[in-house]
Amino acid sequence: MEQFAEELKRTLGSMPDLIFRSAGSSLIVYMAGLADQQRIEREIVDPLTDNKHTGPSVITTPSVQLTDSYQQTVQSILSGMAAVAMRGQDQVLLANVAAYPDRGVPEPHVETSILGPQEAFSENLDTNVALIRRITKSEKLRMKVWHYGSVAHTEVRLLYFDQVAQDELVQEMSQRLDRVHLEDAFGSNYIAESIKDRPLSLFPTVQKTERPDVVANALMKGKVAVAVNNTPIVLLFPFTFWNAFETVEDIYLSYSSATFLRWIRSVFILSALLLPSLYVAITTFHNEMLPTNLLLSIAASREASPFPAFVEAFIMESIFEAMREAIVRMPRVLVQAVSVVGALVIGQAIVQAGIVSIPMIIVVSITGIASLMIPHYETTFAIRILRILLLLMAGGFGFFGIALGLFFTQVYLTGLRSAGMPYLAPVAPMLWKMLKKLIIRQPFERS
Amino acid sequence: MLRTLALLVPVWLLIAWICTGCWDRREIVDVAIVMITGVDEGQKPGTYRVHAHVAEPIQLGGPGEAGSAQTKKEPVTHLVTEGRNIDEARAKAERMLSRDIITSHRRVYLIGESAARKGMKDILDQISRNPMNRLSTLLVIAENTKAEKLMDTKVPLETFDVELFREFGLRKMRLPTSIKDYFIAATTPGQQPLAASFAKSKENKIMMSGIAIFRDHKLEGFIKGKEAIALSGMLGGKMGGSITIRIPQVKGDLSIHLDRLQLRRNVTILKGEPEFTFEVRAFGRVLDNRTNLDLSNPSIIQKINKASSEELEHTFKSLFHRLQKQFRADTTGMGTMIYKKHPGYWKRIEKDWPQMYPDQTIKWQVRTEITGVGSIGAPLFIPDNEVEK
Amino acid sequence: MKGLSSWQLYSLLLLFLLGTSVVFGIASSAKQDAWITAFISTFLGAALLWLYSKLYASHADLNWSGLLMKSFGQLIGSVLCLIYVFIFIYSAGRDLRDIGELTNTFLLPKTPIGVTMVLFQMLVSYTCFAGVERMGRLAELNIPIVFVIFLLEVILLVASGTIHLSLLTPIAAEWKPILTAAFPGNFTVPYSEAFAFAAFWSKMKPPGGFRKAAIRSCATAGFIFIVLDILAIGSIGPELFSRSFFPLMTTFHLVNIADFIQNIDPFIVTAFLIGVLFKITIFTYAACSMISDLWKVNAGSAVIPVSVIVFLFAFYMTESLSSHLFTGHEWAVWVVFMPFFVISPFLSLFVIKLKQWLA
Repeated sequence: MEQFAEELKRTLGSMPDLIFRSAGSSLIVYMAGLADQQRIEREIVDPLTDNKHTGPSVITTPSVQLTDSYQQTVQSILSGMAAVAMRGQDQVLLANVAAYPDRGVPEPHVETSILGPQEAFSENLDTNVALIRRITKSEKLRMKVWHYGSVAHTEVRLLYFDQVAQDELVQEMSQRLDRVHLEDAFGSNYIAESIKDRPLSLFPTVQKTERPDVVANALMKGKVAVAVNNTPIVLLFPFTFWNAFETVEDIYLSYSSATFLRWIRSVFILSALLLPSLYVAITTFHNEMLPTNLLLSIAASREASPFPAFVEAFIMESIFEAMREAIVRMPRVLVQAVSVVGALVIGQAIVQAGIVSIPMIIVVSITGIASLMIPHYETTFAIRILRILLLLMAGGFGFFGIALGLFFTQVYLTGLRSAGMPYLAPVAPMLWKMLKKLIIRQPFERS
Repeated sequence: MLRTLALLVPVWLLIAWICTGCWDRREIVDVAIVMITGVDEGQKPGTYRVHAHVAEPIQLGGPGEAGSAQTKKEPVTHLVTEGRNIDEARAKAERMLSRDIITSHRRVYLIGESAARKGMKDILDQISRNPMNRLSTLLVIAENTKAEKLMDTKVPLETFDVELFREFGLRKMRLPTSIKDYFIAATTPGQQPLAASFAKSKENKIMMSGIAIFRDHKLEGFIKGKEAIALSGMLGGKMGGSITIRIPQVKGDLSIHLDRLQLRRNVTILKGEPEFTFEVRAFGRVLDNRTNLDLSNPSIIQKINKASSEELEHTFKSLFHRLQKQFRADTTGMGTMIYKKHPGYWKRIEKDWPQMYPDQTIKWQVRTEITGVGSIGAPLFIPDNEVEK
Repeated sequence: MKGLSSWQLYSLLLLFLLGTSVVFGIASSAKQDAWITAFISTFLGAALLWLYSKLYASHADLNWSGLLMKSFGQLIGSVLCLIYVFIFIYSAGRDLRDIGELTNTFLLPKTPIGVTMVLFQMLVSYTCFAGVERMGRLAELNIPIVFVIFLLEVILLVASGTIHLSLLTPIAAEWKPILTAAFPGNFTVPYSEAFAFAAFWSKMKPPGGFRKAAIRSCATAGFIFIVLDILAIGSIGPELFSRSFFPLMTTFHLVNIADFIQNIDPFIVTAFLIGVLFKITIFTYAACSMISDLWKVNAGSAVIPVSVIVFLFAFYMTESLSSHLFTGHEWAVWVVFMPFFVISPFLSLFVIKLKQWLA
């Protein structure tokens, strides 16, 4: 047994949180902080010291395992289990008394909802899966497990509903997860990039969510989920273009409100993409399109501005993007101050100094608000980048440029797949039954 | 390999874009917006004098300003050039401005009477060829004055003069007086075009004076007053005026405002000659009763109907007399009626129609219906015993 | 998933047929009876497409290159294949020139037409490169857009109050212009151009499905043409309709709703771009397909050289818009479309049927 202790000390180093405790004739090894010390006292030490005859059955910890693998013992200690070495036994008992420090069940801070549940995932994989299980008590829920990385040894689980998710989909995802080789997989994004169809693509092909109800809903629809330890983000496959227009609130609102919101959202997302380019194209290339009075007011505002419309657009876009990123990164307490600065600097000062014309400010503000309406965070990046590209095309070739840019995007999108499913389904290829679900949020069937 | 090529595309685009300098890019501040153009005869014979109003946005108020309350001056610059044809004049105008002229917002094209009498042909092609011009530009004639003088007259209530012309043409009168209508009328067999005409009143204000009649692209004359109302009603426009009628054996007269006209025209070929029948149903209201009649009495209304029908028929007859005998212009499209209904016959008489037209007679059936008399019956200021019931 | 669904094929065919015809209007030489011409040629076109599907059905696994060789023998067939490659390239070039001229006239007058066409051809190459399946999906994506725009066009025109149906009279006063406009004019363009699909139809769908999709798209296209013609004539009158280079553009130029929505031509041109894109793409792909059948190379690798040649054709074809239109309406019909898209398939079908009957 002393040998055992020495081995351990050599492998793990004499760390202050590596505790060796003897109880009776047994040696208990665990990591302070990872293992619940009280439980160890109660379930392992007490029985061992009390009882006259020792043996694995004495320990009252519910989850125990016998092993003779040294590797597994080390891993288990590192995972918070207590290793009990008993005199005279070849095998070591591993008792699961793990109690990780974690946040409990936090509130969602990215995908908020007004009327829905306010739970989000935390970093603990077991808790996360438990949350999902709590929502769907289906016996069809299945999991497959992988471990990656010799350093991080992250556990990854693939969740799906048996017979609801298509077998090919599960097969495909399993194969991809098999092929992943990562030394250190710290977060779900590493995994995501390794199993995405086209990791370099502009558009997101995987859905990342922090809400258990979203995952449960998706699983019931036949999608698969990939949960990664230490990340409060769960990945969902497949993800089509149209999913980016749906929010979680859709199922918690009434039928007409949800449909109405969905349409407004689509209109605004389109304008988030096109508004600056349209403005530049119309005012520089095609001023005939504006009603005369509007043209004259815009002309009046633009007389003072020194920059061409296209450069103005760029300046305002950059400032807006910078503001947006800054607000996300800064400490909470400073948000108020920055919004004041933003409003003053951008709103008043720039216009009055005559650097940027008022219509441009209006256009950029509407675009900014519209882009905040995109429910799926990653799609906003695609839209923003595309917007700038379209702005370039509009600045060079007006409407023709915009049309060309949109066509290039369309052709590009037709080639994307997410987990093997064409990105633009159900519009292309046209699946009539699913089309209805896209346009309106269907009322739930009354039983 | 193909992947790299595919990535080269955006690079190529970027290069092309940078090198181009964006040929067509034209900032708003580099553009001169023409609001209205007026064409007159030039000082030298055979030339045209073109006068354009170019909008000045700066006077409308820049950024941060509320816009001045008193814009005494119309926010336009005036540009006058002369040339042997319209395009030459335009080229000269381009040389006088720092900005590019665009005509896509030009809503009204004003032609002076003398220039129109000389002939419209040379003026017209320039308008339609350039895709920047709109076919919906209104073509109007300045009667008795030069277009220039009419354009420079200040107009009440509107910022730009051009609004007056447009509102008249589109909202008040609804005459088919746009360039498109001119072209359609000119190319339809058996029809001659027309245009609205404006004149300067004695108080130096612009007034809509009547309808200009063309024949073979030359201005022939004007239809005014009651006849203009009748003509405009016939062509589907709004009738903008009132007629005065007298009832026999009644002192005083009444003014009827005509609201609309329903016209049914018919032509039949009898013995190789066309016969025209026009049925008119006019609807109007009594707006001014200068008699003592009590208008709440339906039989009196009947008398008024009869009297107005006669008056209207008289007006129509004199209108057509003027059109046929004096101007010899088939403005209302009687020839077109034949063309559409009896195309075979039209083919035979097509060449002779200009000679046949002045001799045609029309059978009129006019019926007027007074649909309203306002909110009172007899005039309110007459004592009861004087009211005629 | 190999091949296209019937909706995809239908969309592709429909967008192809609408192609350049929504720009130039149908049968403008027939003046106010142009819509009657459109009506007649719908039937003629449907018959032609039915013929094509019969040709396809005779050897369901062969493309046009294979069929040529079957009908005329290996040697002559290959030579004919080569000729067809150039015919397809010429057609693509013609349509590219069409869109170049349109853009040049209405959208970007000062941009050199070469630049516009190069950009557009790059888009076409990218689309060809993507392959038939993705083209089908692209068509599916764009069909709702085209339908919506078509509806908007009708609504806007009617709401602007510019339509006077009396301009359509006298109806059918003379039959000669109607019939000459229908055959060969409207019959060949656009319906015979659908022959380009022959170069790669085996990749798309079996003959039965092809025939159904073809007849349906023919009917829809015909309907749209008739409506557009009526709208155009009713708004600008028969004379302007026949004299304008781009009659439908002139028509939409008149849209004016409450003085607010006006001068919408840039928007309409952009809508036209969709149809023309598909036309040029199909022709280019047809050429690449024939090349790939002849020389056993991947269709994708032929895209770039073919595109370059298409651009060169488009650029150097004619010097001015007038000569381009003249060539298109008079010369090309008799030299290109009739022999290669009508007579030749007829002949080929005849020969094949003969061989089958003799065997």
